[in-house]
Amino acid sequence: MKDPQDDRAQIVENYADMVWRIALSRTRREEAAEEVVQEVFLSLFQKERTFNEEEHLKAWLIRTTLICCKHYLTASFRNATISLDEVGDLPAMSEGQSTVYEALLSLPAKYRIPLQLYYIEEMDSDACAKAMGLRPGTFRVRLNRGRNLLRELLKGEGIDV
Amino acid sequence: MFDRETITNDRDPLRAQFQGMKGKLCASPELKAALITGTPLHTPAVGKRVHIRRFSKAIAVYAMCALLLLGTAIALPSLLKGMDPTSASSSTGDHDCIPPAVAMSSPSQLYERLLSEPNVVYREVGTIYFQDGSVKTSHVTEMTRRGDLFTTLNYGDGEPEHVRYYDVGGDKPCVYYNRNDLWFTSELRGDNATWAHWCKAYMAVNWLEDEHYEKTADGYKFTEEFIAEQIEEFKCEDAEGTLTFQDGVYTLRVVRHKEQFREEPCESVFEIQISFGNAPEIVLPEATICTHEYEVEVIPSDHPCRYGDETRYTCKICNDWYNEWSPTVPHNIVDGICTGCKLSEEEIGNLPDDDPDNEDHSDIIYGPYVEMSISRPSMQEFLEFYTVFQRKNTAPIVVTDLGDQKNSITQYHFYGGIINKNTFPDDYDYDYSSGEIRVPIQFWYSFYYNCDDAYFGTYDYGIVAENYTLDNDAVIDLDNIRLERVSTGMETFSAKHELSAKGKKEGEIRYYEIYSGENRLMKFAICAVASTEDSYYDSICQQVVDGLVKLG
Repeated sequence: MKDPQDDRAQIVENYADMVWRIALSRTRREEAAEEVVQEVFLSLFQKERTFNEEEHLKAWLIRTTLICCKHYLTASFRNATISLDEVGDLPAMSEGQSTVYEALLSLPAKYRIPLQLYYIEEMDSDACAKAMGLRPGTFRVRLNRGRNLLRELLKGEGIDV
Repeated sequence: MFDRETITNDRDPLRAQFQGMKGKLCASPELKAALITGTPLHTPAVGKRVHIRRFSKAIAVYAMCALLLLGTAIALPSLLKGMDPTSASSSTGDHDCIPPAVAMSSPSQLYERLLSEPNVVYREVGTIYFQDGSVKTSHVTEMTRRGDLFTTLNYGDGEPEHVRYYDVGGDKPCVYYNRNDLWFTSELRGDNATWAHWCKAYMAVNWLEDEHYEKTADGYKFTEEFIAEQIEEFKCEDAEGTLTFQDGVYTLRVVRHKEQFREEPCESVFEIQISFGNAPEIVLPEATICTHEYEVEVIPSDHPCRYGDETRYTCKICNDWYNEWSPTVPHNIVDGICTGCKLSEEEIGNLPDDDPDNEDHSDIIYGPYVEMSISRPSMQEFLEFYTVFQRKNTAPIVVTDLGDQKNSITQYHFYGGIINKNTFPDDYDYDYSSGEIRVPIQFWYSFYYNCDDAYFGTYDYGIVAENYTLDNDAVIDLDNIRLERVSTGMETFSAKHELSAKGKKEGEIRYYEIYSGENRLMKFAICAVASTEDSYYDSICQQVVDGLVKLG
């Protein structure tokens, strides 16, 4: 008999990083990201949800992550002094990449998440829009504005894109 | 065949910057192990806190709604009168909530009294019993109107949470707000100051979040990041903002120098001055205290919970509750499931497909998504448009203005254009099987220009046309339409409004006005659009606007 933990392990292996990255990007706190990741997977495993396709699972995880992040940020309203300094040590990346990632994190969430999904998670814009519950056109507008903001920030750091 | 996205990606230098980053941003092995074994790594955020916060927010929303109604009431007294406070008692349905121990004064009742009785403190004491039985939270909010001074005091868990004074009198409306013993003053200046602008001053108090300011050697200051965000907010097509700091005072100067759909130049300038400082010297006159107590138990339910004349909905999946005063959260609860959870459920096919025929809708052409906003420098001329039309050709255009709601600070959203039985507005669940077509219009009373952040109440109307055809050649008899309050199952009161068509038929455009009693609430136009070409649409919009202006 197949051990349910094997299924869990597979899902965690496939998606925990993605959920963590999105949560980190949204909350900008590593601790918060870990809490959100647990909330999301708890919700997934507790209700023994089934998905017809892998893409459905992925979309559900992204959407649930964003909802959990929103709840987290709302709940921690009083204590939420979120600055980039609190992100803690970023994972080892090249200097250039660290700059880019820090610039990304400094953007408003409205633009940060679209960029995160599009560039880091490498999803196409329609899938991103669906996961975020936005119209494709709205998503593209945010993506474009986010790009422009990011370019400006990177320009200030001497990275011309 | 060109793939626009692929081409874009190839030419997108930003993509190279993110190359390989995905592999380096990973959750810790400890976290992954915890997920697999189900052993919490940290104590997850519990619902209790979320609920408490949500309730605090709700109270804040009530308070803000009070202000809002204060404004709308000036122009819409009959609308307020139309809110039938007795409707709650006549409502039937399954009641899964413990009824209130003491009849609570409804928000509408309360605000009406606030307007008419200036020296009374209205105190609400609420006790919420959550489902787990272990959480009992009492909240108090006090609202007063003393002359031109409007006050709200909110307490969370018995401790004072924040106090706000809104001085709505005189030429320079002020908002005083305290947080963490720090007072924050937002003062509106500018010859062109309007009620709408005042609301922006009000909006500024929401800047005072912990993460937005910091203490420096020179006192308190907003963070640079936050300032940059605020400036960015105003960098849109028709406005720009500058935020300067001098002598401890921030000045936000906003210039709106373009009005869509209007040829003549029109510039609106206003300033909001914001400062951190000491408590304002405000002497509150003696006031009578009226206390309204209520209690409620929140239970996930298929049915709305009611207390007073508020209807409260809980989602049986996420257990969050919503009411009609908090429209931005997923308040559309259908079959006991909120929009957010419903979307999640739909992802996995747990809910019936809204489109059981599984028809191919790829032929549906989505029209341009347009948000138009118009504001004029003076309150008397204040005019604001929002249209959203998103359906196939022949979609009706619905354009309106604030008409006689000049004193309200309204952001207008509407959704229009249903033409095919398989298409319906994303935000509503209408039953189109009744043989009627509905063009829903949603009023959002909001201080915010960004609808993502709008918090306030909505009034939903539907323009109803009967005997229409349900194909792409939809015919709507413009002589035979009526206006109805849209029932989303959340209505707690109703208001009768008359719809009258006025003016000559200009081409295919027909103008209508909505009256409540003798007061015109709004005017709007409907026409069928044969093309979704931008230029054609713009031309139609311009005609509609001109026609509305002619109507006065």
